[in-house]
Amino acid sequence: MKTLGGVPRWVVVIACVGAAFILLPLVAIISRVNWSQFIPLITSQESVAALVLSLKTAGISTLLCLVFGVPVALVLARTRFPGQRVVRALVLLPLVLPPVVAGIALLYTFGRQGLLGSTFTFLGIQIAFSTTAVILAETFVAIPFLILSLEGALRTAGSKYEVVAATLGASPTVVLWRVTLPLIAPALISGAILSFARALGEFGATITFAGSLQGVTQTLPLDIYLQLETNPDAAVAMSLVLVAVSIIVVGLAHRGANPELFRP
Amino acid sequence: MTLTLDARVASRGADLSLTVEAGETVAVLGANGAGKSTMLGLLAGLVRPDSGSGVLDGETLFGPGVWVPPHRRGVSLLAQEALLFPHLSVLENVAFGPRSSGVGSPASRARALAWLAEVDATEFASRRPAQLSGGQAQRVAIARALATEPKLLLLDEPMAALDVTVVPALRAVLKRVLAGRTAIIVTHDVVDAFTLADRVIVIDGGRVIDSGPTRQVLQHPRTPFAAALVGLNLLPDGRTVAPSDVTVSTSARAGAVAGTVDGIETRGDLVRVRVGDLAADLAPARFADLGLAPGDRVWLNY
Repeated sequence: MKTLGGVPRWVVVIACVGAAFILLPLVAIISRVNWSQFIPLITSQESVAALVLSLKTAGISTLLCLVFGVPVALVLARTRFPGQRVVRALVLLPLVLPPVVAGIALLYTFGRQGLLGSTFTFLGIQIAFSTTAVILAETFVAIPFLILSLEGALRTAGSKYEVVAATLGASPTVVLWRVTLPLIAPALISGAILSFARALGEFGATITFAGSLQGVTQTLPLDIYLQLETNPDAAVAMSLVLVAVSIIVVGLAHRGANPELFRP
Repeated sequence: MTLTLDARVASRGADLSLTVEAGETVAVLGANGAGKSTMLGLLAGLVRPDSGSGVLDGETLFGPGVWVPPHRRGVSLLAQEALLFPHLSVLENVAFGPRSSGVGSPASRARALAWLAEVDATEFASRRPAQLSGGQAQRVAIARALATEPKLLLLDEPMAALDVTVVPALRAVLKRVLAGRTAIIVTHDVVDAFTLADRVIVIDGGRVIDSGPTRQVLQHPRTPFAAALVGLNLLPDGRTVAPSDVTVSTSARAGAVAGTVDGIETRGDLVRVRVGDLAADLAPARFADLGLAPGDRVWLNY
């Protein structure tokens, strides 16, 4: 059989079908865009509010992913404790959990009737169906991406540079800031970008736990879904905006994963 | 005395004791797995002993109820690989130690420049570690280790991973910076021991089996390992004999010791024949006349 660079031709044929399967829906969206109304559609008050809310909540949840995900990855990669494998499996659970289930789980944790609900009610904080709920839902589904990416990078990097730094007099905290984190910076950046992308696209957990209140919890995916019934042109236009944002994110993640960028 | 170590690590089968005087450089010799790395690990704080203690300059590094973490020991470790931090410039690498101990940025850089000059590496200051050769990187690593002004410097086969052509220059640098410094150097190279160390200890099976001034230990070896390092055979009666003074024959002779050929290797213009713990060097023609092969029965005279 003839081959192309060692790859059998029939594999190339199937690959083309697979690639078309991914690319064709993008073409379909673009073909349905009402270009004459595109600018007014994406600058309507509702659309802008949803886009701003989406970027804001996804940004904050990415920060939360970093603040909590980096320590989790460090503890998983560098320490040893009983039940570690179970903890690792459970921490990554949101990756495979249906988002609706994640939303219900969050509702029964932070909702008024939830596990921590009375604590927050006592403090006068109402989490469910607020912007905070959107951020929590997005963080919940996005944080495994960061943890997974960082833990792998930490294991690959090993601890030999950290040992050297310690014998040079650097305390564990100094080692973390000046050696560990700079060394895994590429994974840190690509992990953060992937988390941001996952947070930006969050739908199921958000609508379950936070509802769809314009300007408060109605993020772009929710807005698109609801507009599909009443104003399909607006839904398609906003979808294209999300596609554009996603392509930018994928591009950045690819660059972020390239360590050459960190050499002047 | 400045350093005393007496520690046991059951999981590694090590029971090590050692004393190093102030300003003394001690070479640690031993086969792979003998316990040399365990000794350095104990002193650097990378290996926890089951019992025992280590005291440096009157300060207990570890002992019953005491454990000083690596970064507070004042012990620098230079390994086979330079392990320069790849994200920092050469100058920032050398300034890392002073910075970490709270010295200000300008003072740290000044100190780093001084140490780079000491190892003839000033020209590399602004380079990235990836732009250095192995020998250059190791010189920078020496400067980095010394810039912390350690009370004790540990060197773990610092030249083993380098191209042989750069070893003499690096050895000269080490000779200069180790003068008057309290240091322990693990090495496989007897030249390092002779040129760099005041004293030698030999480790085998997790224990110190020989110790003394370099020339005494190596020129009058008392262990087969030390004898092999200087290229001598250690006889059962304690005498030593050079492999070139051993004659081999394939028939029994008066006063000869019988044995079986275990290995044959070509060394330059000689062929080294190994018979048990003994080595004999033969001229190629003599070797061909005997027609030796591994497993052959031979008789040795010395």
